Amino acid sequence: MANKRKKDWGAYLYLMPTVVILVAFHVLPIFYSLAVSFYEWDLIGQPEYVGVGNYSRLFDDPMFYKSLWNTVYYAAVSVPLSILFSLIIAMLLNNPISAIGVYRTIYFIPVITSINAVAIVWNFIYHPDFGLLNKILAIFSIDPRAWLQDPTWAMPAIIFMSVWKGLGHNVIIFLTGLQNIPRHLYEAARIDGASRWQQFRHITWPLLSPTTFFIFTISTIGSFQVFSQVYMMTPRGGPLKSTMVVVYYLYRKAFEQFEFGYALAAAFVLFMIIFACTLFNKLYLEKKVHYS
Amino acid sequence: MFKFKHPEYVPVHVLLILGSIFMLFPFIWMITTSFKSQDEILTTSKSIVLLPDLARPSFLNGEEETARIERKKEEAKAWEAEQARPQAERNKKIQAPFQWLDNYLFALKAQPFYRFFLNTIFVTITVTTVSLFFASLAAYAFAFFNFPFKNAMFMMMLGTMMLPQQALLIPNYIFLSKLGWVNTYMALIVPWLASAYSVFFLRQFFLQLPKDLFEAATIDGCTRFQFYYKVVLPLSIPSMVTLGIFSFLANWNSFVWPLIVTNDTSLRVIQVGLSYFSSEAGTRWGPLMAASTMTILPLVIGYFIAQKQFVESQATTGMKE
Amino acid sequence: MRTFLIATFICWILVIGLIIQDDAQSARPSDAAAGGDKIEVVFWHAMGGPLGIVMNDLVDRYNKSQNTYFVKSVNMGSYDTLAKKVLASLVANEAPDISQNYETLTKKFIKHSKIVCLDDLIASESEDVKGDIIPVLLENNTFDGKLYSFPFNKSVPVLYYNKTMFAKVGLDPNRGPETLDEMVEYCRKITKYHQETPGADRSVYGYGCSKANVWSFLNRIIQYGGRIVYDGPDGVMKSGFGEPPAVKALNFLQSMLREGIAREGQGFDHQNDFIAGKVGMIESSIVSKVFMEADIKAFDYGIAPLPGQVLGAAEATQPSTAPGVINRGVILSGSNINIFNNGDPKKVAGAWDFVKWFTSTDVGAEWAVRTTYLPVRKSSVDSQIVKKALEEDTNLKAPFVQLDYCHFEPRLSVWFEIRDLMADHLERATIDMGPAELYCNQMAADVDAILKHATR
Repeated sequence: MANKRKKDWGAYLYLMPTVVILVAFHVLPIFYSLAVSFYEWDLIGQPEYVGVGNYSRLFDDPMFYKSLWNTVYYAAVSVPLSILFSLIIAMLLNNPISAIGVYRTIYFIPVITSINAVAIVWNFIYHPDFGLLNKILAIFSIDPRAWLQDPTWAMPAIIFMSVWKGLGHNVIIFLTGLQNIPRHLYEAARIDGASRWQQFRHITWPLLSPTTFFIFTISTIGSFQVFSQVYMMTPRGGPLKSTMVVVYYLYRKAFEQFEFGYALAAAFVLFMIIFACTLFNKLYLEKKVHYS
Repeated sequence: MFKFKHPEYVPVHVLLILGSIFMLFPFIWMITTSFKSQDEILTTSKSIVLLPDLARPSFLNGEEETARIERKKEEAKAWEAEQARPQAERNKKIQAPFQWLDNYLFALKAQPFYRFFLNTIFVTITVTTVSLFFASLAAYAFAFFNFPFKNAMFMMMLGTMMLPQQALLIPNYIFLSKLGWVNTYMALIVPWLASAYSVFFLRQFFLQLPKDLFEAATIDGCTRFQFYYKVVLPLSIPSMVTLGIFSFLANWNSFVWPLIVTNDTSLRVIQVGLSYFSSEAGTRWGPLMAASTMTILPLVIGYFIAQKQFVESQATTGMKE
Repeated sequence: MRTFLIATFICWILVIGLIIQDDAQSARPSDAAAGGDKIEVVFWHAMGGPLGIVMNDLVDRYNKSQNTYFVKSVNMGSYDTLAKKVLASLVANEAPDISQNYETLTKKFIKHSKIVCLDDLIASESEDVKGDIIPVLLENNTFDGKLYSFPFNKSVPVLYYNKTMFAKVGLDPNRGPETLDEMVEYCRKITKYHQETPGADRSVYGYGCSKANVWSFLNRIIQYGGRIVYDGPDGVMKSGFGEPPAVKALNFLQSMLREGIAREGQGFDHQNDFIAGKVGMIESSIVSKVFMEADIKAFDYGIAPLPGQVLGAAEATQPSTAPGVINRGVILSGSNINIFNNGDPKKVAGAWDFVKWFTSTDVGAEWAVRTTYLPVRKSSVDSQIVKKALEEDTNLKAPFVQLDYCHFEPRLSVWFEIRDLMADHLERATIDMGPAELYCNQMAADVDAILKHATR
């Protein structure tokens, strides 16, 4: 009890292993990158100091804004879709049905597969001539399209495939959350005559909120950094650059155009945006989360 | 048959089955492609048909192949016969029992997948187990203790997830080089022993455990570590297993990092090996799909086993008060 | 749970054991010899698949043929990956001794003194190395009069055509189109035949290429007698993209697409279509032959030089052109090698020894025949090995016919950026299908803007 007043530095023992490695390999590089963003560097010669030159160039860069817009588009659509569908599936899987192990494995397989293989498979599916999607749509008399080469449809195509791939991951997390909700609460509610929807609204949703908060935060952070799908499926940033996202933009600047400092400035602006969103999440949305 | 026991679950099954088809169809395509020859894959009408043409000649031992081998042998005589002959013999040694295994044998011969497999397992198991342990300690601290700069530390941790990996490649590579770890297992393992994702995940879970239990226990003389070891850990097995699965997968599928920090073939991991089937002048679809299938299969089996663990431990931990 | 953990632990120990065992097994006797006295030379390349087999073969032979050096060659998969790794390793001072590179990177390396000037190494050679190198390849690697890189795996584009299809539609199967006009005629014939003949596959078309293909566009510009980048009057570099040959080049593609006798696909779609017999002609690197030949089973294919264009007197303004004859234009692709300045003169010497051996008359000829890359030396072109190979497979003649018409892309440090910009405009051109001048003028304006600020 006397410990309550003294500052608990002992807690740092528990944090130490994680913090040391995070600092060495994740935090220090961030500071290094911040520093380099004030230089111009082609990775081969010596860096040249340009102060805020990179940042001011960034603010006048239409392609950077386009990539920001594409990224926000991607995040704004994929995150809610993913949460919605994974919640529905998790709730379906939360029933004591037979073959549950089989279903769970099936829904998780897209997650298991590496993005490299998945991108190739989906490239084929979206192929205008012999892709599965067009063949299926033909059954419904819908015209075939060159999905990944159409400026309007390339990004939705990527979003669709990303939601497909990430579904299983969120399903598992939601399932864990759902199974933490005590059964007797539902029984009591049913006895009281509550409908399914009311049960969901008053029991499931609030008690699931720590999980939902986690998924929402992580998904947002992740979706702002989307890269692999775009890199593999729409090289060069897609038709008329409609799928050029920020991370791909900075990757090209760094490794193909040898403007490493500029790329890091873009990375930092992205970082600030993500940080601001997450902070907002934590300060405002976490208040609505029910912890026991 | 099972449907009739619980008719109210029929709609659930129907929806789940529809969803399953949607989840699986790309994989069905992938596996059937791994059994086809390259021209089967590229011919439109044949690539949609799910089953490979079982009557096709093996491209490893078909007539055309033998004729090409003969021609190459004659060329070799003009240069140094010794050099070319081992290659021709190597080609001949690939006796496919069934021609639909062509791609698999080709893939295995093309690169030392056995070694890549071993490397990947070693690195992944090490990283997963150690990072989970470290993360659970940190999450425990965040959930149960109050310490100075707690919120700042938490945000810093979350912050490490917000800068894209590509931006961190170069500084990390330089640091590793100074440590002398480039092209060693250390580079593949150590940076991933800390996982902000895991800490966040477990912290959410630990926050749902009743705090009064903790206070009661510590008042009774239980040390914080004992509480962690005897109470928190056992209760969190399902979450740890889930997290273990995610962590295992993330490491198994990691590509960019191993690509940059290792040079030697002997240190390569599976994903990097797979990327070599695509090259400047085209992709060999068949072997790529075969190699991809071989990579996924152990994961699927492993997952199936692991999630059974999950279900069993759910039954025994008695979370529902 | 406990059993699971124990099982995992056992599995882990087992894997470690297997790794150690595998390490012990793969240490071959030749490696053991390397450990002691041989000087190790690290060579990073992007030769995979069938090319990799030949590469490994030759590296092995070199290592066995002498006792001073041991070349460790590592395949990095693709040029893209290779470039990334080379850059990363340079930053950390862990660069290899030799690597394949494009000219753009070479220029950067020269600027920051990262690579060795090969003139110094050649100076001590007794034979006239430079005199024996194919002129365009030598020029490609000479920067400001000095040789900084060495030709290694350079290729040329060629025209692949489906002989069986040609015969079927009434074209001469032993002759590819010689001029661009002929090519259009051939495409029309092929497409028309398949549209109108009952029972024919209606999706077959004449010519296929990939979207936003800068290489193809550049070839075309040269064929029409144009230029890519030149020194303007006030010392500023300008692009030739707004000039009539470039407009004609873009229009050539656009009109074929409009007419439906040609199609654009993504990435390697055109190659896949060719293998599947869906397209009559494609233009691609000669090296694609190595990747495609195993899979082409249903028809006979031929390889011809790229078609050219007969220019009028007013159009034949560029140095390599002459009016009234077929003006061919072919742009080299593939890469050269750089030897890095890692501070160890022995390794540099070893690197040069290997490169010299690899590009020597006989070995170079063998490499050329087995991989279809161009041989580096003139003596290789004239060697028995090449002569015999050309006799056996006439398809291999096409690259050699084009040797006199080879150009290479401008070697500017901003060239990657310019290329990307060009691709954007080409993409727009075939999506919107407006008049070609529109896109060419815009392209010229944008590229000129970059060139203005570019240092050479």
